[in-house]
Amino acid sequence: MKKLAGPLIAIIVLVIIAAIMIVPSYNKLVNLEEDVDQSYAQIETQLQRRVDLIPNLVNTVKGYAAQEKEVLESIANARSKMAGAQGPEEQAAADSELSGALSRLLVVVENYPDLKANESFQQLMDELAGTENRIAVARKDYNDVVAVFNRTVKRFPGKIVASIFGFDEKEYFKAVEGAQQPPTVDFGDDKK
Amino acid sequence: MINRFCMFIVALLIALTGTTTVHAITEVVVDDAEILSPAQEAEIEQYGMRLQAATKAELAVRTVYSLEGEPIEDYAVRMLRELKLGDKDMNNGALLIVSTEKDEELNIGREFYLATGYGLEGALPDGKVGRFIDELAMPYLRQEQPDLAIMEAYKAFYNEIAAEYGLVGDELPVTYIESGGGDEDVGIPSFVVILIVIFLLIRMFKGGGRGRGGGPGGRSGGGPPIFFPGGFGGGGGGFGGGSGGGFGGFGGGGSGGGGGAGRGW
Repeated sequence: MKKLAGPLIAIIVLVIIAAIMIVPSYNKLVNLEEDVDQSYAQIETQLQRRVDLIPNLVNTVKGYAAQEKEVLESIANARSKMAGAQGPEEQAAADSELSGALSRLLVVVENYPDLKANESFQQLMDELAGTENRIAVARKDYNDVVAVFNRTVKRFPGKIVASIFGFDEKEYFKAVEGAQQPPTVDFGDDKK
Repeated sequence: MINRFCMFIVALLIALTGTTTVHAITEVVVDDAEILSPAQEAEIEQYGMRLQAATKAELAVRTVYSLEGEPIEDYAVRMLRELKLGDKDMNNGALLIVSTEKDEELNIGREFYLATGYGLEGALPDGKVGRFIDELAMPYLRQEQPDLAIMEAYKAFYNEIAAEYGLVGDELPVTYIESGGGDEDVGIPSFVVILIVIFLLIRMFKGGGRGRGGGPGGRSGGGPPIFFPGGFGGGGGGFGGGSGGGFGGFGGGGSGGGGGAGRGW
């Protein structure tokens, strides 16, 4: 028994040291992951909000500019893609497509002063602009927390704890390249 | 004065007790672009404190000369967050930003923008904010009266927030200029105009013959009268039971997520 006492104490000390190192790190990772999930939920809320606004917008536009089928269709398509998208990457792509379609609509609207002056159209556009801004803010917030999370996962002692408990790096919500560029609009006379 | 004193006491208390929740002391109005008169500032200050005391909601105004190249939406959210407007749990702060820099070559326009915190998105949805700005503020802005635009928009936002929190009977009178905006306000002046016309007609006929010639409508003055604020107690007035419920007045720790609407002018 006496022989065992030494190593036993050593083991116990080691376990305690390990616990002292692991527990705070683990808790930190859990908290951070919660933050990441929360800010992701915020993005999803705003994306959903935009998806919900689209049908109203399309209906209002149809009342004045039904002949702009192409733009209306591209919006409807982008909307359904958005509704079906899963995960940051797909959602970001669908979101960019929807943004593109909407900005094309904005260009077209210039040709319809009555529509532009329509009160509910104005209101919808304000809501949409606000929502887009909310998405931008939510995206930035999300990416900020993801950065913190990923840094913690990659660094010691988070790295060890993360590999033991299976915390993976999180995906950023990236705006797709090119989506931010203003769309090119063909003002060719062949349509009219 | 009373307010200052309270702030001082609170600051002292914080210093003594060593509490760490010191917020940056935030004011209701900071008029860096020097748009507002002292009386107007005092009026907004009074409204802002009253609203905060009753609802914890914080509605602030910042005027700046330049946004330094930052898009107004980003600037407004950033400021709203930095100032921590609104209650920490309710996030019911809102910030009206007005900028005055204009440079057509650099494509910089003057801005008039309200950013709303999460908690006020119900009382002030973007669509409504946009409409208020269109109907209430833009007419003044077009006439280069940004001070009145701020006053009227502020009161309209105040009313919406007050209504949201069930604050009955605390509606501030809002004045529209240019007809088409407020239906209520248009009714009274046209009534006045008619009275004047009748009065003049009666005088014309009484005076017999040519008398005062083509008079009718002479000085009706067009649209509804502009309601000049400033009569509201002028100076400090009462800040209720002293410094409301907050550490150093405004800036309760709220946050926002990019809601809001605005217009260039």
